[in-house]
Amino acid sequence: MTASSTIARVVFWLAVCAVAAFLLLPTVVIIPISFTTAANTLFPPVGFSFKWYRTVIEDPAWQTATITSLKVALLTMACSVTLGTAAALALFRSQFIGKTAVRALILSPLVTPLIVLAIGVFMVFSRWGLAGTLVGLVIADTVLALPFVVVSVTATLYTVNPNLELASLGLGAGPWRTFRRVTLPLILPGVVAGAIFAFITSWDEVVMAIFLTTASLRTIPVLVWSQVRAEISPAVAAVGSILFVISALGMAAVRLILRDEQR
Amino acid sequence: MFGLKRRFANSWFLVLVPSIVVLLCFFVVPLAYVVGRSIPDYSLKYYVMILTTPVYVKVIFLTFKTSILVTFVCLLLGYPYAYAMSRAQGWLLIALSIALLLPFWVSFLLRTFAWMILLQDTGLINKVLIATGIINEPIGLIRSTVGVTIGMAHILLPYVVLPIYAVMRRIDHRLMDAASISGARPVRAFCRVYFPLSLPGVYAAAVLAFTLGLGFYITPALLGSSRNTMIGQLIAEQIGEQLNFEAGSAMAVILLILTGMAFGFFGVVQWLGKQRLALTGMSH
Amino acid sequence: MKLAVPSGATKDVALELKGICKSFGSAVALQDVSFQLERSEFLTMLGPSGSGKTTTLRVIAGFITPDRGAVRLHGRDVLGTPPYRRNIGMVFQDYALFPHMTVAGNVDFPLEARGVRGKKRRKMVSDILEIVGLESLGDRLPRQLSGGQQQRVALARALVFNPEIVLLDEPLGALDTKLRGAMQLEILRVVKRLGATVISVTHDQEEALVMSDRVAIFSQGSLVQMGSPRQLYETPQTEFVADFIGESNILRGRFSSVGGGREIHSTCWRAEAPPSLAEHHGFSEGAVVAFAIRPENIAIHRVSESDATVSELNRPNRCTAVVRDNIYLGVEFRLVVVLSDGQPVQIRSRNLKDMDGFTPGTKIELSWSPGDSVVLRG
Repeated sequence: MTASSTIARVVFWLAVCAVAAFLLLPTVVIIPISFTTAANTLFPPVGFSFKWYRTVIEDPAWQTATITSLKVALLTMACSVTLGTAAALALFRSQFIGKTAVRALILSPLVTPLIVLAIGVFMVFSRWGLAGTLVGLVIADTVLALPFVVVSVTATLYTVNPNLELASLGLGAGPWRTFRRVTLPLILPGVVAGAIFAFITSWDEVVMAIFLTTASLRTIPVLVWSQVRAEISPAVAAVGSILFVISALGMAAVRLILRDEQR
Repeated sequence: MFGLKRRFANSWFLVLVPSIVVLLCFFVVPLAYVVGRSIPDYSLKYYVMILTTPVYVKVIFLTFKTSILVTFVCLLLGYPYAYAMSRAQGWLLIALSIALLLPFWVSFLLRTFAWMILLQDTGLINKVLIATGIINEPIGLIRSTVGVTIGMAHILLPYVVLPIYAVMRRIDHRLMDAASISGARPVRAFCRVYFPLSLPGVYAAAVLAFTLGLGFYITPALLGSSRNTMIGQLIAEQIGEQLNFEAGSAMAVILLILTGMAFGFFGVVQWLGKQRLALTGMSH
Repeated sequence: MKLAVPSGATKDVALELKGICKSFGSAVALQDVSFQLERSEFLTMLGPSGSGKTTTLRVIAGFITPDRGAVRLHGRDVLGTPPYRRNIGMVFQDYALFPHMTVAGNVDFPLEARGVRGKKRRKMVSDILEIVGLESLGDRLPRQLSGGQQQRVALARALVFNPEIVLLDEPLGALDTKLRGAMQLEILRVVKRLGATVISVTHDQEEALVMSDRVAIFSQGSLVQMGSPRQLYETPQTEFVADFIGESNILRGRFSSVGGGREIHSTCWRAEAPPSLAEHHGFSEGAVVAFAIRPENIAIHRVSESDATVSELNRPNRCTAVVRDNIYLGVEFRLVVVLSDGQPVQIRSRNLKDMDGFTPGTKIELSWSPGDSVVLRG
């Protein structure tokens, strides 16, 4: 082993650590700041206090926003999982002309610039009276979450033996019963993972929400957005920490579910 | 048995219909509406207006420039990171994966907010730079191109690392042994063997980062100044504040066209690259 | 096109390994491996998986640094030298051809890396391609070639720069059986024409015996025995070698030097020790000794009822047995017979006329010549 190659190796790994630090730094810095006693977001934080958490939890604006976010996310999850699972199964199992086009259509929200879709939805929903309504938000988020569910369920479908369904049908079970008792349990990990993706997508969604919410109907991201532009306060850091924990749990859950899948 | 299979398979198509309807109504229609709104009475006057207003043209160029810059930064940071992941095993791989994917799961709004805290004049970065004596006064990281680049790079980095990593994983490590025993020093082995084989991943990563970067709105709004405005912000402003739906729609269509052009451009580059590799196996 | 040897180097010994030891964590991969290789010699390292032969190859190539020991190429110590400076050619197990380069590009690569330029370089490439029979395929990509053709490209790439030694890592493992035989001779033809010094690694003993000047047998990290194929076949030194190369019957008994002779006794047979057993064999009276005898070296006789009463222990190098299986294979008969102590013995015979009568259950008598047996150690 030559000296220059050892130096190169050390430099390389230092660089990689630096990038890892770059990736993690913002993710974690908001947590300590949320515990500061000061009224600013200076680092390192001064003292240790839960007061910002109390402020946020007791603030009616945050409370309402949380409830709204929760409602929207859960409804989005329900809709997108139902539609998405069905779509994934249909695309996987059947053959018809234009199947590629349909698949492209379902996946295209992923590649469209979000701002463009947001204004389109805003203008159209305004005309249809859906802007500023819960239903409107749910519909918009469902469109965004649908591709995630489809991709997740499709991945699981590849691991399922198709003969199982045929066996069930051959034994006399109807399509719905077959789905409920045979197919669904087998693709459940993919469905659940997709559901978590859908929930998180809706929960964190901000661009569409900015256009589709009003002063009386706000989600957490929208509230963060308006607060953050006004002033940088540790209260937002407290909100961020809570949201971070939720995201981390969601990610861990998905990994656990999908790891069992792979075994 | 086959009839049963086909009937079963075809009945699934019906289940697909609601999804198609939803997407048509709430995705295709809004996009079509945007296009339609941008050409009132089939007139292109708003496009003309935008393309002849220096401020707007500047914004379009700036969006391009920023996206290119961010893509470049992401490739620079992401390529070694992807390489490290492809060579790592066990706990090291898990650690690198978590570091990469954890931010992915945190909303980009919060991550941008975190950068606001870190980059402000009294923030951690400036504090460290002053403490280590690199600078004497805080430098304006926030409200600048640097801040926007950092924020966007942080969000786009996982999109860059993953495709490159996926390709690198499938490169046979014996090839590097073969290059080595054939007499190639590590640098030559990398340039002539490893890097060319990793290029498909690099192309995919670059496409992804660049096209996603074009549409950024929240991050430049929070981390940049008015000099760093990108198309996304303009669109939001026109629709949300100015209520100039026609102009905003026209800008949105321009953004769509630019995104499409970017995909097309990268597709051509990739195709050309493949041709070249196939034709010239030997160097010079 | 002959391969070059650096001037002033020891012309006879191309490679010397001395006391190579290597462990990975607590697992010992190589234990005190030493041997010498002469110029233009074809050596095969043979052994089961995990025996250390591939690890040894990688030590020679420079991919693994041993914990202890020395590696000398034509007299010069190469332990600190990285693979790209050792002037060794290598053919990898699945060829490791650069998929993004053409055949000519692959073969040209070592020359490019060494700074060879211009006409000379082009000539070296076309020469080696001609030698391996691929002169018309220079512009193809590896994925457009058959397994055998890829094999030849790998060989050409390893030889084009006139290396001092060529390493082959299970070169025929990826080919189907039919192709293997043809490729064995192909490779041999190419390396002999170039006068190359070759070390090959394989677990296929037939390949080792066909292609090599000498064979080194590895087992559990140690070099067990090294010699020409004939030496290994006719005089294996350990049970492992006797069993690994070809088939052997291994018989165990107690040593006796009573009456000035050297014999090995068992409950149902008495064998004279082979003449090849050294004077100072070191066996004490009554010590357990194992010897091997090949199935084709055992003769088989009918036993008449009257002979059955003769005491078996009277005559040496003979014993009675009962036939268990009699298998006809066209070119020969294979019999498995069982001795009175229950040990099965394999016999092969091409004497087709007589074999029919030896049906399972038949009582027969075996005999052999002491000169065909070998005393084993370890």
